[in-house]
Amino acid sequence: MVSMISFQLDGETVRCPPGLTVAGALFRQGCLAIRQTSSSAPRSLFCGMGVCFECAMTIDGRPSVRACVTPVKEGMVVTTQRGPADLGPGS
Amino acid sequence: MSAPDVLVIGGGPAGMGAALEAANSGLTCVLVDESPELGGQIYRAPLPEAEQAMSPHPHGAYLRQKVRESSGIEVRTGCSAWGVFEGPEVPVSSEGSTIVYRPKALVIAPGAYEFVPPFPGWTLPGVMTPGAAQILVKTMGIEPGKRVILAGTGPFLPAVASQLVRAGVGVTAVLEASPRHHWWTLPWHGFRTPSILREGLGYLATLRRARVPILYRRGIVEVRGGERMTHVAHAPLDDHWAPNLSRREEIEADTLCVGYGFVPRVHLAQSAGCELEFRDEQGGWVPRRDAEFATSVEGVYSVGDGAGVAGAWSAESEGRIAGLAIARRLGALEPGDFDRQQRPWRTKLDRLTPIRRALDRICRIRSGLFESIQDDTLVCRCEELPWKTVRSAIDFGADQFRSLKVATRLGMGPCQGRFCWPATSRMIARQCQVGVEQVGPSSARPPLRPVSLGCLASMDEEAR
Amino acid sequence: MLVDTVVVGGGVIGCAVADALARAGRKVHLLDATLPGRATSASAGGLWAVGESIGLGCGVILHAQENPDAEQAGPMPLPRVFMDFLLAGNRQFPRLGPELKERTGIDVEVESGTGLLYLLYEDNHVQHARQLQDWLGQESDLMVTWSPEEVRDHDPCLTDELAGGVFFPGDNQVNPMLLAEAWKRSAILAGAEFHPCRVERIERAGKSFLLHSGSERWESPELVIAAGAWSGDLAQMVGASLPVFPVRGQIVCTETLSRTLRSNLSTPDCYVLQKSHGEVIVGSTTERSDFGTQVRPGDLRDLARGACRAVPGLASLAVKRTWAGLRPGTPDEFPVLGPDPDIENLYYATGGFRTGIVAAPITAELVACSILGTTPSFPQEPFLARRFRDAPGPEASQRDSSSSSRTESDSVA
Repeated sequence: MVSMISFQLDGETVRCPPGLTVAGALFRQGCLAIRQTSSSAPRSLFCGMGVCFECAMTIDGRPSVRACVTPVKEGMVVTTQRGPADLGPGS
Repeated sequence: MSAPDVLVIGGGPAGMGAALEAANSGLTCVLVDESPELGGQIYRAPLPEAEQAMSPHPHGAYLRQKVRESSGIEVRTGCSAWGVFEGPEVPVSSEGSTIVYRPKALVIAPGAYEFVPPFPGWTLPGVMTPGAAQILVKTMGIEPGKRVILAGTGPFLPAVASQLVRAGVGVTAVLEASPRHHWWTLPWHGFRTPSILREGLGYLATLRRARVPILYRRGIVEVRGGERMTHVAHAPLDDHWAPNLSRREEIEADTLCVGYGFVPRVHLAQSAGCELEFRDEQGGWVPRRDAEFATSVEGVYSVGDGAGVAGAWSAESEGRIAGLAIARRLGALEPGDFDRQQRPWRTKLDRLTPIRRALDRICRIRSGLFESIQDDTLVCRCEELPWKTVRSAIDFGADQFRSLKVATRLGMGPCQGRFCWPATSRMIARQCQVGVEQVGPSSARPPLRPVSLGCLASMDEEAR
Repeated sequence: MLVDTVVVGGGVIGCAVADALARAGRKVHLLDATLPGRATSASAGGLWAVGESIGLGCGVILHAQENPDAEQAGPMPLPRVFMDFLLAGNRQFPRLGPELKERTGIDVEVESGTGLLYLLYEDNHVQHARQLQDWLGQESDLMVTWSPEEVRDHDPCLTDELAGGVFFPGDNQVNPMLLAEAWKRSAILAGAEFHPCRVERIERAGKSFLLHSGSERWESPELVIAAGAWSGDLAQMVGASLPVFPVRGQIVCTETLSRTLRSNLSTPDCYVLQKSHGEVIVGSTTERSDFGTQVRPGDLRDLARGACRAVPGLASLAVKRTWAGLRPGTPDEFPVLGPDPDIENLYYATGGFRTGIVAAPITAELVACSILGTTPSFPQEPFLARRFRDAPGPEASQRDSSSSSRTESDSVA
């Protein structure tokens, strides 16, 4: 039996097997729209290898982290970015 | 500050080859790669805890093991080399901290990424490169979609298609831009490399068994959908790959994997000050290199697909030869030993030349590829910039990366022109009726990999 | 090709001059090489008429670099006429923005209401601020002094570790690249012709100038050199000597950030401003240099430190790119505008150093007036090239150490 890990996606708990990238975990959930552009268009995984930045997400408070090259970890807090980055709370 | 004999950037076949040969000759070597594991794209290893992955490529596993066993190589995965400054001085960052390397010789082996021309709908979720789909299915066991179409040109398409099929993913069709009879010239050019031909025929057999059609001389003209793509429109292409829109057909699909070959990642070499030259058949702008893959900058070598797209086997040979050349240059290898040791790699490289050239001819980008672009088709994904904005800047005299950037913000987004410029420069060439080489390359502005302002601020005091 | 006027240099100044002349009915050809490092594209676009003329922005960074142990926290202000000149330029932007938008459709992003905030970290910075207030006059509304609390109230994202702040309500910003582009298009729409090319050679043919670029040639009775840091080289092609030299500035630019910074910031380490697109620009070194546009890791680090010191929350932002631009410097930090003293019909619009953008509208007016023979709204005298005749030769001024050039301007002050 596969041991599962859990992480937060926009406040919801998501469970997935280990060894996935954040983008992989989102695809597994059927959640393709990884970010929203400034004009509110949905964008998803595109190059898959860290070149195009289409899968930028806020991960553990850091904005614009590439979900396609970031391994998902237990307890990770992942937030969808809408438009440009925000400075996290407390800054 | 650290001063190894050799710093190798990129842990694919080229970088591993260079590091292995340099270390075998007794040099100290640091090998950095952005991924958590060595292998590059072609030999990419699954994440250590992955349970649903397909087994990794055996030769990749072999190289990885050799590198790990070598006492002369310090492997630093999960690290980004984000620029090459005077010296050469190379800052390498990981988890917010930075080490600045000042190696005696530098090997740049960053690989390549896919060439995707803009077309209406190409920013919709579900449109991705074949490479992205391959990584999902091979290293994580995740389906990119239920109804997948692959389109573009080159041997990578059937390779990925057959991997998807074997993983149980529904592949609807493969659309290849070049005509079938061009592909059937390959056995003639590839008789000295039967293993490559066998590999290709194996992919075709897998697709045939799964009844996945390969449609030749076909290209994408539009993708439609909302939150996710739902339809792909394709049309027959002429000899210049211009679509015949009167024979447009539409099929349902939730995923389109589109790639028209590869673009070398030359930005590190460019930031090192290496002279570039335009080689259409190798993916565009590449560093000018001598027979041992040294660039125009003293002590800087560039190998593998990042120096001109030629595939994994060529990449490893180039890396091996460069590693040996560096050892000779730093006095760790006698000229006679160099000649002897490089010979097998040189022979391999020569043997690959005919099939490589044939593939280059078949898959060379044709100008009609851009005819499905509409005025409001986004050409710069990052900045959401439509073609009409770029075209009007061209009308007002902008004709190169620098001038278009300032006039329109083309290439000013996070990807820094990686995805828009290879296609847009060809569209400008077409519009202005000049050669692509006259339009010029994009510029390389460090950091070439993401670095936070805080990480930059905390850099080593000794950095110049 | 025979034309009325050739303008060499398609940066913000060349485009502004070409536009002014084209709209006055001249047949103008604008020649531009778009060389790496042109100051227009490298500039942050601060319209800091007061801040820059009293030595903030890049001035205070240079001062700290060159006099690390000085008690004085900043340089002395440039002569008063310089500030008046920049204010005359700055005043035109609120009108210019909408005009360019109407003529070309390009919004050059003239911003109002943000102002420039100079952060005071130490007691000697507070001391320095007092001197600046004295210089401007206690009653001046160009500058407001704030306590640390007032600074934090104004913008909570700033550091706690402040000894105070000085606010310049009229010093705002613009997008320098779009400004150049809009002026260029306005000029083209008014009949100017634009040629992307590099001028290789200039000959005299009687009273005309013959410019060569590859196989192309232009013949013109009037020549305007607006080639930024490269202006000295062009002047030399005509046999004139012009002490304009490159002053490199390295800049760090972050990814886009939702609107966060309330004001443009000047600090002793760097300046920090957020452009309307969302990027945060951190500049800038001030180095008498060659024409190289390389950046150095150590300098980028120092800029990043300065930015994180002023706005700690910026540390998590990704750096998108870094680059270097070449400002056109002059020995006295004044621009060179108007006719050459010896060569008839040769004009200069260059030497904008670190204030070329804010001065661009008034620069274009002065230069266009001297060509058209009309009267400008601001005296041209302090900016004429003939001032260099009595000064040491161009070679000597170029090699001048900064301290002596500083003294020169101080003595004028």
